[in-house]
Formats: sequence, C-alpha cells, structure tokens
Amino acid sequence: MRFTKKKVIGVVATTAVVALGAGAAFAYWTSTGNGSGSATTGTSSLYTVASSAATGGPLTPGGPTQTVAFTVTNPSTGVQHLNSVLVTVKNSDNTTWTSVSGCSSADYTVGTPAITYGDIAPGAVASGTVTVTMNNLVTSQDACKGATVPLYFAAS
Amino acid sequence: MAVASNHLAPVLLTVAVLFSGAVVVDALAANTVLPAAPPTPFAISGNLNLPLYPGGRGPLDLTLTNSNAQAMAVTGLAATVTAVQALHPGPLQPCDVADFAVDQFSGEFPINVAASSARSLSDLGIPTSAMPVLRMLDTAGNQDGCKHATLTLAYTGTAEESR
Repeated sequence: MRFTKKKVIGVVATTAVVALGAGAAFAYWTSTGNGSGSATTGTSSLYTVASSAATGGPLTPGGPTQTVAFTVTNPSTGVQHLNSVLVTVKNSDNTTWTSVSGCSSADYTVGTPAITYGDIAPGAVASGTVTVTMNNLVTSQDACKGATVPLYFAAS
Repeated sequence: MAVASNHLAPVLLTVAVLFSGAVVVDALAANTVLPAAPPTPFAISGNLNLPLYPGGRGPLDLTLTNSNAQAMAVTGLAATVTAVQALHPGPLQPCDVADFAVDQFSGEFPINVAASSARSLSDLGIPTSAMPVLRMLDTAGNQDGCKHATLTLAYTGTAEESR
C-alpha cells in the first residue's frame, strides 16, 4: 500500500509542474526600440555635351545657315534640371578663338539653341540644335575662307 | 473497512497538502521571478551610405540589437527624417525634411532576433526590396540648397520578448 501511495503523490506533483510550465510558455513582455542614423546628399554633376557635324551650306558672308545638332547628358544618379544652354564661338577650353588670324567670333552669329529645358532623368539625354551664320561685315573677311569655326557649349 | 479508511485518509491529506503546497510554491516562484528587470529597449541603427540626389533613393539596412537574454520578435519598425543640415539653404533654395521621404519597412513581421545579438536586416534574410527606403523627392522647385546636406534619421520599433 505504501508503494501505491507514492505513485499517487508522484502523479500529482508531475501534474502541477506541467501546469506551471504551460503557463510560463505564453508569457511575454513588450519592448520598444529606438536609434538614429544619418544620410547625406550629393551634389550636381557636370552635364556632358556632344555635338554632331554641321549640316547645311558652307558659311559665307550673309550666306546660308549651318545647323549643329547636340545632346546634353545628365551623368548623375539623380534628376538634374537643365536651365540653359549657351553656345558661342570659342575654343573647347572656353578661351577666345584666335587661331585664324583676321577671323574671329565677330564674323559669326550663333543662334539661340532649340532644346526643351527641364528635368533630365539620371543618365538621360536631351537633344537640341543650334544654328550658325556668317555675318556680312563691311570689312574684308577673306581670312575666314576655309576656316573651321569651333563652338563651345555651356549647359547649366 | 475501518483499517482501509484510515489508510485512505493520509493519502487524501497528502494530496491536499501537495496541491496547496504547489500553490504556495507557485506564489513563491512568482515572487522570485517577477522582480526581474523589464527588457532593455532594443537598439536600431544604420546609415544610408549612398548620397541622395533629387529623385534618388537608397535602402536602409538597419541593424537591430537585442541586448536581452531572451529572443525578441520585432513587431514594428519605423524610420523618419527628423532634421536636415543644409550647407547652402536660402529663401530661393530651401532644403528641409519636406525634400525627403521614407517608404517604411514592407516585409513581414515579426522579425525574430536572437538573444544578445545584433543583426542587420540583410543578415536576417530580408530582401532589399522590403527594407525601409529613404528618398529625396524631385520637387518642382530649385533644390540646390540640398547639395551636400546631412540628414538625421530617427528609428523606432516595438517588440515582444518571451518570458
């Protein structure tokens, strides 16, 4: 009989422990988290401008117009707003063109570029054209015969 | 029968004592366990390592640090831009938090973080597409004031910890 009694006690104790364990499994506490970080912005990138060979008749005093097609590329990873394109007769380093003695930028007129201004998506291209004519001055312009006229594009 | 009854009585008494004893022990155990410190708030950290441009964006691979001895299940996570330090802001070139936005975490909760561990979202197998995304808006105005700006980000979250 004592042996039997011990069995009963064992069952009761086990039941109590299981009940306690089951109760603990569903308990939880809530917590919160917080912290901080940072980020930075970049800056604008220079546009890349490329032009094609001029089309149209050769430039002569008061003569035909030549048209030059060009593209403006946004090399940035962000959108950039194209506000203006200015085209002038200058060397590629933005210095005054003096390589042909007796012929200068005063002998030519560069028109207003035709291009749609506005946002250019990252890596996207805006295309435009610009015209060039030769002025008909009262002085001799013989020095400009056969000259190759450089154009300088400034996009911003 | 009388003998049998006498034998049964101690058994019942013992059972009753065990039950009541169990309750007492339970109460004692509760009194011993409950005063344990509540879970320490978990830490959230992370920076955006790519510069932002108008229309640009970058994922925030946040790190969740659980300094508690129990695993936690993160049930909420949010990031906000709280301040912008701009180098060249001005009336015509303003730059503030309105130039930025955050797309919040779009993955599934909970995010389980083991006890005493720090894990980034990528460590936890969360794809970049589900991470919070910090964006610079491409507004209609001039945003030159935002060049070389530094943004301060704040993170908050909620979690449950098993006990």
